[in-house]
Amino acid sequence: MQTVKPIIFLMLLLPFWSFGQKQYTLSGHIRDAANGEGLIGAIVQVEGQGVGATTNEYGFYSLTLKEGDYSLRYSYLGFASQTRKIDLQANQKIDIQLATEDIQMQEVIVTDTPPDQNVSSMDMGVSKMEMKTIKAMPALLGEVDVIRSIQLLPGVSTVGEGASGFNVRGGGVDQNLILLDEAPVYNASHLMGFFSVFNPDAVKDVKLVKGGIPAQYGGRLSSLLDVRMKEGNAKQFAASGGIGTISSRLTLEGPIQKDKSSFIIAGRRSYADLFLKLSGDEDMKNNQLYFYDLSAKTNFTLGPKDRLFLSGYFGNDAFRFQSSDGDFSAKLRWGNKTGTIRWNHLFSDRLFANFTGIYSHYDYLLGVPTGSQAFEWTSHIYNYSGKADFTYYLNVRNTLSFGANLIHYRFHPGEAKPLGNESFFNPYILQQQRGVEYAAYVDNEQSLGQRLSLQYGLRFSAYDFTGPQTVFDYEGPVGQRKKPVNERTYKAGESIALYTNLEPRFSMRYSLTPGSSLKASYNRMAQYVHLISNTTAASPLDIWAPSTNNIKPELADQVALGYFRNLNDDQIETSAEVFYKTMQNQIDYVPGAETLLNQQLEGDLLYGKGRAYGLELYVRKNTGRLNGWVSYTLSRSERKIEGINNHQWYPAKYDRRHMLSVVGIYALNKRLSLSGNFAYNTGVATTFPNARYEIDGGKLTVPHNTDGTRNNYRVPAYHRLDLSLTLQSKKNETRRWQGEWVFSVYNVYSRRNAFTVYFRQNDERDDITTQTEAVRLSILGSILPSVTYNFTF
Amino acid sequence: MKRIYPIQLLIICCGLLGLWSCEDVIDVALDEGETLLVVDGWVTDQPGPYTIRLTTTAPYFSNQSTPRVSEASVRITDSEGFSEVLQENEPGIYQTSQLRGKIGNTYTLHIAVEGEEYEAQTSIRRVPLIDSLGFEYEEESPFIEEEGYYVSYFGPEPAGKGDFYRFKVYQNNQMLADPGDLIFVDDELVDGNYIHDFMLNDEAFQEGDTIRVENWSITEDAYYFYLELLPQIENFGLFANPPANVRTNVVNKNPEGLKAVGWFGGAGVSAKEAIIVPGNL
Repeated sequence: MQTVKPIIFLMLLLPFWSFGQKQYTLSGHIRDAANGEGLIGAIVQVEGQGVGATTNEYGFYSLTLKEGDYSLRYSYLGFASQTRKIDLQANQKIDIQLATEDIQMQEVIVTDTPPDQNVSSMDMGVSKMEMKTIKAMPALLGEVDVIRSIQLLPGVSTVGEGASGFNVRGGGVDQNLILLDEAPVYNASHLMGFFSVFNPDAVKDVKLVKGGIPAQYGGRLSSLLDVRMKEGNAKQFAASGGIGTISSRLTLEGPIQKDKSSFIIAGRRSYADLFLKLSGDEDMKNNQLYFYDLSAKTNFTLGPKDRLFLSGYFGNDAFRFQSSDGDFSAKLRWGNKTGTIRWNHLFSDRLFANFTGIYSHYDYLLGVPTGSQAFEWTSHIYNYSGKADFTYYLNVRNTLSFGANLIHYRFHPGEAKPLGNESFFNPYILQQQRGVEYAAYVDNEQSLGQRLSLQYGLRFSAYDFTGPQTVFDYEGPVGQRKKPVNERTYKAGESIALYTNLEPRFSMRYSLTPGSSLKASYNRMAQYVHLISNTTAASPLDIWAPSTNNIKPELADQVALGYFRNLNDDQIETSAEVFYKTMQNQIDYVPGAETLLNQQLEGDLLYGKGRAYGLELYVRKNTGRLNGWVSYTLSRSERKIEGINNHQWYPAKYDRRHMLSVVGIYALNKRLSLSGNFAYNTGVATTFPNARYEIDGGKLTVPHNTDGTRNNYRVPAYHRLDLSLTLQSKKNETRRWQGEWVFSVYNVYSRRNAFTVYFRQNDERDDITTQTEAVRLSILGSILPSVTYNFTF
Repeated sequence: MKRIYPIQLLIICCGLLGLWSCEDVIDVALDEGETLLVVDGWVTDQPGPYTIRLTTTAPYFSNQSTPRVSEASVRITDSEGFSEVLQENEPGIYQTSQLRGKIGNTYTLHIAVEGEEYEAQTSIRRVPLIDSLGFEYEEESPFIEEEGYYVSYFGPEPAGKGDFYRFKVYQNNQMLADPGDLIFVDDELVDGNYIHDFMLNDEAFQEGDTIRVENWSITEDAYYFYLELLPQIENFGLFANPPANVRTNVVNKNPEGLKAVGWFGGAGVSAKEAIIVPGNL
């Protein structure tokens, strides 16, 4: 650290050196002509100069140039480019509306070449997914799903079918910062993990950042999944929706005041339980089983310099069962609520600011409503945060970003209380935990001539674990449950443990030829909250724990190197990246760890380090009748934890050596398109026994590994093919209603992919327990066809 | 009781989501580990003889009873200074003839075999009496696999945290010993309360069955032994715990020597027996 700091300080000064000639600023917004939505990452290029700008998350750009005549090209993938000639003699504001390629407008000059962002931007380890693409891909049971789609990108794996979340470059599911309009989402899954919480109709833009993460973002080790909601159609009222096999959706959007303010509200609900009600089975009729979510957003243009956005998400999964005689019952509910208020303010044409207030809440309830074991158990995580982000478009060569944020956390890890008079339970309340995370950052994107661009920044983060709290130290043998000792109590607001970290970030791009570049990046990340989960797939009941006096912040350092090349007149993008990542203070668990309702949870935790490295190859075609991508990842993710695997490196549970995915979308004609996904992944690592022994007088057979190794085998490889066919209704100019049918088939050849392979004794009653077997458990082991009807009007 | 089986409830939910998951028995080639001594035996506050069963580990798919260990020297000493050498009455089955377990005492098992010396320690804890057993006829539902009679426990739980119990259920003198019949709890959430209507069997009983329920008050480390054991012998699908070795309290006196596995436990035991007769319900 000591050697890094002076260099960074020097670099921060660089942008302020020497300007001579008069300079003026050209700024404005780039929007979608159809609905007024700001376009994120649209490009403004100064033709013949090799300089330009990209729009930010709000569609704003700013470019400061020397006075003179310029030809500017505005472009965005899938949209017709526009060229403007300007004579820059004063600061100018140019707002541009780009139209999709099939609605060609006469007054604009249309060029066909898509941007070469892939090669020319600083981005590496970044995957942007167009909602258009996500919607065209075959989906499980027709449910278009953001997270299931990104699982087909290079460097992204999962522990298996139906598992919630995703693993990026060898990191845990909790190491992804999932932001929905800047609000963190603590459990992004519906139905245990089969689907994600984002309603595809309300999502505008999805970006996954796996490396070279800018200093603006922090708090998680492995990735940033930035999901931005639509702002709502500012031109005209529109409705869209769909009727699917699992759920139905409806989205309404429109202007409140044309081109000034708009709203969008999108909801969906699953209806498996409505079918249950129709079933003749009395038991089934009393069941509830559904998820729903509601996303809403509105924005107001307060003036030329101010814009206000309000957005919210509210979703739940609910399950309730009661046997017909009322003797047995159970209920389970979990959900996220998020709210974001943002105020964009232009202090000048060159200083863009955004102030954000965020609320996020995740909770679950588990209960048995009746009987002697009636109880209700709840757990919450509350999150309030505020941040200020500034972008200063210093000059054409430098864009400076800086800001600060503060997150207040409150964890209610668990509270169980008896229900009714019959229950034999006592109330059991785990201590609440509180903490504050602070961060400040500065980051500069600088181009040094035509070929070399740099982005360098520094993030300072801190976490303060505060009282009121009773804390312990833990003592005991390595690898086993430890006992609490040295109890001490802290008063409200008193600091128990304070952690600070400096997180340098750096990326560079060097253009080799106009169509190819070399990129490199380094980032350090710190993470102060941790998902406590010792099951194969994370469950909705898992709790988040803050860093405490015992749980240290997780740290990661990642270096990556990439070669980017566009072929065929920029129609094909290719990239090859290698990365190496080390992780500190990784959490694991003692055997038989009790992660729920355990006041002494920290005694069940083990700590160690992780490393991951790999190669990611990616070829993508964005234009033409056939588009899609092929991605291949060769990687390794390992852990070394004291108390596991004899303290030697072992593969992480989501380590997949080879991952291949092929996604293709082919337009057969104007109305009909066909798409397919194919995925092949090395099986996950698991522990197989090399011996067994008998206990209970020979009645129970226990698998055992005499070497004490972890994850010494692999389950069989995972592969799967999905297909879908989309048929659009005939275009009819006089009718606003547009419909489409989507027929999709998941797991076309019905492969029984192994989620796990486990070992058991044949449990034939009264049999001797000598017969043992290996069992393959497949989660979605058969072909799953579905039909969805989507409409807009 | 503390174990309110959250994961099991999740699995019931998964079941209701549809019958998508399926299981197949497959062939897997496994390595063979070294052979370790396996200890399995208990002392209780009930009259002996107490049995220590000595076997060895075997290849996972050996598909026959694991080998017995004969001609070991097996001895139990207690905290009162009593010591008894156990007799090998059957191959690998070593039994006491004089030792009488008492609540409050600690017991040490000493084993010498094939040049290695092992020790294990346990104690016998207080145990509450069982007041009565209740029977109820249940219909099939996602909670109840087959319709029939189910037995429930009624009895007090003594005040003061730190009690751990394992319940054993016998149907017509046959102990229910499937992995799914392994029931063990702690008193963290029920301390000092009267336990009632606590259902104990997984598979239905029939009219006329004689049902015996035993409450074994086990030590804390034995509770953790079972807690670690359960996920190794029962699989929870999406929410399975990673496979890991189960703890043992058998220690080789030579830290460099061969390890042992298994458990030497002590328990206070109370029991109740009843016959399922419709009129009695």
